[in-house]
Amino acid sequence: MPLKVGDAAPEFALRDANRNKVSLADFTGRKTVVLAFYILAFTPG
Amino acid sequence: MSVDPFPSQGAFAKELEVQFPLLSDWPSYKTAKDYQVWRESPPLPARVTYVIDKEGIIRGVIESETDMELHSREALKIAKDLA
Repeated sequence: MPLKVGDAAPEFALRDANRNKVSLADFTGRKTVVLAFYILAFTPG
Repeated sequence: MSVDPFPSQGAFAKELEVQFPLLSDWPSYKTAKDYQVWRESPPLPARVTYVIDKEGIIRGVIESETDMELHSREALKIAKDLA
């Protein structure tokens, strides 16, 4: 079961397609984050 | 975010001309596991979108394996309400 509304979002630190590090902490206090899990590139959604 | 290695993420980003980062959770799948969307059989994440507010609290959870429009529509709505 996925996490629920009201839960604290777990920290993450991942790399984008250009190998730049992106973490949740980069946005804390600054921006809303939309985190979308999808299966594989070149698949719809 | 997906479980693709970086080269396929890069090719995909280029084809879509995306304006947001496509993140790779490969090869540990730790983030998918931390967010409890990882499935072992087949070893792929569920299609789930989270909206996280500025304080790091989850404000939206969108789940649908078939309706991809729903993910973007609902996420945008929730994000706008938080703005």
